[in-house]
Amino acid sequence: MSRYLIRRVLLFIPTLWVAISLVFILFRLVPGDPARLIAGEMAPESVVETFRAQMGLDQPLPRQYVQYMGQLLTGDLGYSKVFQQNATDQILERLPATLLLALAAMCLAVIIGVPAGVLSAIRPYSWLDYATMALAVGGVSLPGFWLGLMLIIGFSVYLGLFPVAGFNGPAAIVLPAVTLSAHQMAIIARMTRSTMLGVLGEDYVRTARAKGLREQAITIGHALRNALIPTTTVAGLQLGYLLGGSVVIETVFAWPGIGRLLISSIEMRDYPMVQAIAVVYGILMLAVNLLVDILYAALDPRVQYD
Amino acid sequence: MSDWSHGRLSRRRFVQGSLAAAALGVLTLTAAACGGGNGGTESQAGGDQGSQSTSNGGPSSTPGGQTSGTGSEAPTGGTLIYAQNQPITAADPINPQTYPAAYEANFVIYNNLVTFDPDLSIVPDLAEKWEISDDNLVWTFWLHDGVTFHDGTPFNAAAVEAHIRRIQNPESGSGNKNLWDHITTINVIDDLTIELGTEAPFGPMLTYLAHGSGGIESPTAVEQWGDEYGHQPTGTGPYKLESMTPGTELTLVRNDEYFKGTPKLDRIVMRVVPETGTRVALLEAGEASVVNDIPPEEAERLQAAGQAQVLRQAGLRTFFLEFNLNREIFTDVKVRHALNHAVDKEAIVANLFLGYGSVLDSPAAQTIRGHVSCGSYPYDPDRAKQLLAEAGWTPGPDGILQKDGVKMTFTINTAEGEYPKDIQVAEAIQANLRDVGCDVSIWKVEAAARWSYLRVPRSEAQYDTVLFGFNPSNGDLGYHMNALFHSNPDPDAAPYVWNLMWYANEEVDRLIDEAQFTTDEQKRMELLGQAQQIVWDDAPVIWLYAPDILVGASPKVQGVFIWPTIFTVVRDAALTG
Repeated sequence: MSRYLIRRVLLFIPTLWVAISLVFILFRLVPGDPARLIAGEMAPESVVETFRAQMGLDQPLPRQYVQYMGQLLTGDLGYSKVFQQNATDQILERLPATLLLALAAMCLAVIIGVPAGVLSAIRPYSWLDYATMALAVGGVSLPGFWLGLMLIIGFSVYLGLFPVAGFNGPAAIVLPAVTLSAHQMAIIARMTRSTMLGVLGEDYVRTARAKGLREQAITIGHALRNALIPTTTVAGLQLGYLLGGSVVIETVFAWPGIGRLLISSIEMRDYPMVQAIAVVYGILMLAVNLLVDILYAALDPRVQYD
Repeated sequence: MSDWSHGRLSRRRFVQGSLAAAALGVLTLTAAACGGGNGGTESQAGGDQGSQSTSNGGPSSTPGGQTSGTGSEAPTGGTLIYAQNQPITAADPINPQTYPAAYEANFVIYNNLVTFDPDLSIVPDLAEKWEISDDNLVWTFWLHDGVTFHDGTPFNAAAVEAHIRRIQNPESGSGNKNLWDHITTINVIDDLTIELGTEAPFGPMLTYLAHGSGGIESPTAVEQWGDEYGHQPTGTGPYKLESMTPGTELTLVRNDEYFKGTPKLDRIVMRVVPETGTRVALLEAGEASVVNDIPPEEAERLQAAGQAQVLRQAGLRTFFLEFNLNREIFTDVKVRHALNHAVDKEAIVANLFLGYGSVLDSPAAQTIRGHVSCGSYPYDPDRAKQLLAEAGWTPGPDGILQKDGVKMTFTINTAEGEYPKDIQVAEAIQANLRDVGCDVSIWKVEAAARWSYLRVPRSEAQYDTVLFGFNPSNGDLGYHMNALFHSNPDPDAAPYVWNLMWYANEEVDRLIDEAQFTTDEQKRMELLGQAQQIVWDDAPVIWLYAPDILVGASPKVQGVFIWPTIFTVVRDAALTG
């Protein structure tokens, strides 16, 4: 197991390197002049030239790449001229907000999705089942942008129950988390339902019933524990979706996280910031994938790594 | 998996442990983020939060862009929350990031030598009075006594000199440097007197000093903070920095030592809320006092609901469909006149902007000082076709105009969302032009990339026509005309400022240059008036519209106004009730 872990962690490096290089090259190939954008429309060419030189953009692309890689190796993620601070500092300021939102959304999705899926599975084709699955279709198809604005209008403007936007106090996380969790909640509900249905038809469940165990003990103790295995892995991998989906949610709710930072940095062609965010997202994704794989192995004794 | 089942760490324990860890993690993050982030600093004074009062019937949109209601002199306290569409990432006057959000913050944090009043007339700010020498080359400013910066440094002429030198220094990297390069000599006479000299008489000196980049910062603070200064703005203004989260929020607190008298509010908070729907919701829910960039549809709705004030100001930003005059098809002025008649500009303003705007009757907007009404090109497709026919363009068998084997085919370069309703305007124009026989297609590019297609040497210009909007943010007509219509000196370089048409008219150049070097205000306006008329008649563009600037405010807000240069000014604001 430990050999497996070491191998996986070592694989981080080439994977990250490829991802960062792709972002570096592709973003610089996209039209748009960062120096001109930062200098503004009233700046003369001479000032734009100065900015270009300061940002290292007057160098040929390969030289810029090598310089950046060297910088990365020392742990320096770059300096953003838009923010006038190190990319690392700005990201660290914003990361907690995004992580919090993603975790809250994940918790909501699990807390509501799993029981919903279980209930649907033990009473298949009942009105409850149909209702839950219809809601699931809604959750996965409704655009987060729209859902978020509807929730704001309903619960903030009309009912005044939650703040409209921003990160001001614990109540502010509710609407963004609900919006962000909708997609994942639907997927988890559906997956739980189908794996449960599958498991409930297995022989060992029939044996447990024959033994005289209470239905509830069977459902939760035996069926659910096994059904949760594939669901957990799917849920964990969905973290990637959450990080991406948070971009839209953070914009709608003015949530001060990395998603919104990424969008505005792309619009401003803030190369260092976008690259730094790519590094952070890359590490997060790789770490999450590894954790999910370990969790999978921990939950299912049939799985062995070596 | 042998480790797992042989007791060192059982599967059950592992799962229980991870669940506990996850729960702990969420709690810790919540505590950390709430305590350290914006959670703790939310201080809503009673006057701002709470239900929208249904008082006084529906406030109508206030022309002139000012809040209604009588102002009282005593400080009323409270926190004004201003939700902006752009983030503030750095509040340094020499290079505020971003535009216009950081400029609006700077107008609160800093004072200039002179500033604009709500009508864009020049009024004293840090300079009490000024005088120009007989040869029109030296401007003398007498400064206010007893003014201190927020960090306690006394304000004096040396600080003014430091500011100008800093902006002119290429190393400082100021995007506004060319607004200051005309000042060639700086002479500190004493602590409260300073002379600024130019090489040639410079007409718009005062409007340039009132520009956002003219905020005077504390030289001590600049030295202390260096590169970090943008996050530690220190000026003389009515509110000073309390805390700043770059890109998210800026909190300013009252400066009790403000030299013009005690400001009325306790705090001003500027936050970025990029989504338009959310900004409007904030206003409706009473969670923001002022929100900017309201679309016309929302303005209508807010006014009908009667729960918020809608401030409206005729903006200086002018929109044109610019011809690339290097294209053969656009070289005949008759063609350009015809195309001007072919587009229904009234319909665009009425339907796309719901009347919140005006059709241009000059190369410059109506609210700019020195504007002259130059005429109109009324919507008349028949006249358009007639003029085109006179110019030798007749419809071919496919209905597309042609002349000597060349077809009237061209593209409109535009982005989507760069300007309000840009893509819809482009589509409307396309439809109008197709009706008179032009084969028009829309070349859509990403907003951030667009300038790269436009700021290129003449031979590399791929655009046929461009939908372009220009805002002279120092409110100066000379700057507007110069940027857009002065000929580009070098065809092998990008346009000198924003003459994307590559328009060149010697008479216009002469008038603009002469106006620049005249300090006689009346003469300047006369020269620029003539220039406007010539450019209007030359029609290097299809003259379109100037949209209104729309800002929403809670009924409790007073003293907020909008400059036609786009900026919403909250420095004199107060909250009632």
